[in-house]
Amino acid sequence: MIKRVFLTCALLVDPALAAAQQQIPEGFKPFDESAARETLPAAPMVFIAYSVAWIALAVYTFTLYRKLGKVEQDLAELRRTIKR
Amino acid sequence: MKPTVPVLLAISAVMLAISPFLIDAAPPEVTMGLVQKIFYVHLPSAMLFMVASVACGSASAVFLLGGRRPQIDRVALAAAELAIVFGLITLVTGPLWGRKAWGVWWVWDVRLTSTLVMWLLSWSFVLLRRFGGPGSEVLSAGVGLFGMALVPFVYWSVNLWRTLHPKTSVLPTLPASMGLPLWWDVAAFACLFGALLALRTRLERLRTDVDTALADADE
Repeated sequence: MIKRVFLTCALLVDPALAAAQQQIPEGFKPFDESAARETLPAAPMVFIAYSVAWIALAVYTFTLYRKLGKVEQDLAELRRTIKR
Repeated sequence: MKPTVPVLLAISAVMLAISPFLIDAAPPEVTMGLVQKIFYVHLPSAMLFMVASVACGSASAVFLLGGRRPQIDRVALAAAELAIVFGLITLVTGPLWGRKAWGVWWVWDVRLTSTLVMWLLSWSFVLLRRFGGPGSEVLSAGVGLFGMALVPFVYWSVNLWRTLHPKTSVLPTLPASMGLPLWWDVAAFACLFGALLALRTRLERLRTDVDTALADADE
């Protein structure tokens, strides 16, 4: 009885202890081997990482060159128009 | 265009073409195995992300304190855009590595969160310039300063706080067999960074020239 009173007081004072008490599962559960063993392959992760890097850099470089070409063309055209 | 830009691009292209062979030859890490090879693209991009943020912040400081010269502002803008590109690579390759090594894509620890904030600051710089209207170059320069101020915090965060991310002590203790592909890629990325910075700055200068020519044509 005294033990139960102490436990109730402790749970009222310390909410973290109360939360921990609630998290304790009741009874035994069998170990699920298929869930525990996560077989995440590394090769696709490495492949995606390198692909993202190369594609991002290639696309940015290509876009930059294309924009530069367009602006250079516009500028040349404008200068020709002004000269006339 | 200056001849250094095509030369830098060619050097980085050749180096990046050789890089997969060096990465393949490097031994796999004992606990992480194959997925650790993401390190050879993740770290160089993270380094260049920090370099770009420092370049953007330094140019912003010079712009704000040194007479607000437009050519300095162009360098800051180019560096901010490069920070977005290299930051994107860092923030994509990191979670791919983390998912296999830690079991989670992302944790809100100090290194990862501060890196994300630094990347968002680079975005803020560019978006301010794009949509901020007249006078936005001064505001964005302020943002650039904040981005640069975050760099040392991001770098030392792993040593100051408990985090899942490896500490900075990994680099000095790296064996030569792993160091060669890493520094090779850092050099390749640095050449590419230099070339792209020059190209992006040139693009901004030409856009200003177009605006000036258009104004002349109107008169």
